Amino acid sequence: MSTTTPDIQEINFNTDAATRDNVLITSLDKVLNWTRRSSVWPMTFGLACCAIEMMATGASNYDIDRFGSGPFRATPRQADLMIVAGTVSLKMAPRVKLLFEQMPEPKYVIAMGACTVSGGPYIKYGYHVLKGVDRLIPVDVYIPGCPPRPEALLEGLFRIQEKMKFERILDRERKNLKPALFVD
Amino acid sequence: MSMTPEEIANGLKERFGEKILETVLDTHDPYCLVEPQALADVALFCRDELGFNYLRCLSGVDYMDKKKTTDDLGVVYHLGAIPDASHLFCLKVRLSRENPVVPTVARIWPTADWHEREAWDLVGIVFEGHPNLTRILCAEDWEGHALRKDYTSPDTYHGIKNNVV
Repeated sequence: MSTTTPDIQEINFNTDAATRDNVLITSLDKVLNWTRRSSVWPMTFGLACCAIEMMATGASNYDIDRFGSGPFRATPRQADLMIVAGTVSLKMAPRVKLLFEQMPEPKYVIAMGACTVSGGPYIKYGYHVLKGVDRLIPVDVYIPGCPPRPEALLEGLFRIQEKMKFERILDRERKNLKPALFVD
Repeated sequence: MSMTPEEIANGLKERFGEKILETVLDTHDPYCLVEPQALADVALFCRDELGFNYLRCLSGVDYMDKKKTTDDLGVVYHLGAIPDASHLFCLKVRLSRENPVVPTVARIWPTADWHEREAWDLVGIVFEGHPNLTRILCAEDWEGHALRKDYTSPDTYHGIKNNVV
């Protein structure tokens, strides 16, 4: 009996039982989006007290690993998701922007907590606080709270994953990467 | 060798006379107001003769009030001793807003090094003779001194718009 692999044209997709049970047909977009949202790697980037909640989200009680987002990377080059967790001071702001620029595309940003959303309690008298990280980098999901509970951060992650679900490879160029309030 | 605040104040007045401008003892933290230029000598005397081997805190103060009756700046030195925790006293200086200069005590109590940098950074007090008087909290290119009462926050920083819309 010959053991050579059959020529591709010889396979009958409709009738060959072994093929029918082992081949899935789907679109490339779906597969890519599925893989991407199943392994969102966040960057280890805690700036203030929100980072404590972010750590709690990573720890065993809330266990962000269940949703494929466990490995917090210590370098922006390996990360897909930047969770800006905490007060961004003006001294830190240029570094935040640099780290964001070093992340490979496609990249996503969660603004976690009142400070990163709007400046929070520092909005009026905080001379040193950036009044919302969206002045610096484009933000995908805002999570209010001071600090938000781990459940809220998980919900934010789900929203990011939901967003990834419907992306198309043909319009990969992300909308407007330049935040509205940043001037060169 | 715990001393009462009266004994400490009398010791200072005996040694420095008119350099001690004011003495207030019936408050929570008894203090002497010292002439700024004599501060380093007074501090050294406190450490070597009065047993204050520890600087508990150094604070920069802006005394400007709402009615603008005064716009002085000041520095408050909380002195302490180890191991005698009840041996406490306080020194103060008042400085003019235009020329807030006071001799450093960083060589007398090394802990004053960073405290003085902070007082320079946020209140803008110049510590004459400090080994490295640079900003410690704000960015190096920050303009102004943020905890002065007449300070206004910048609208932009490195091109980042930071005004409250």
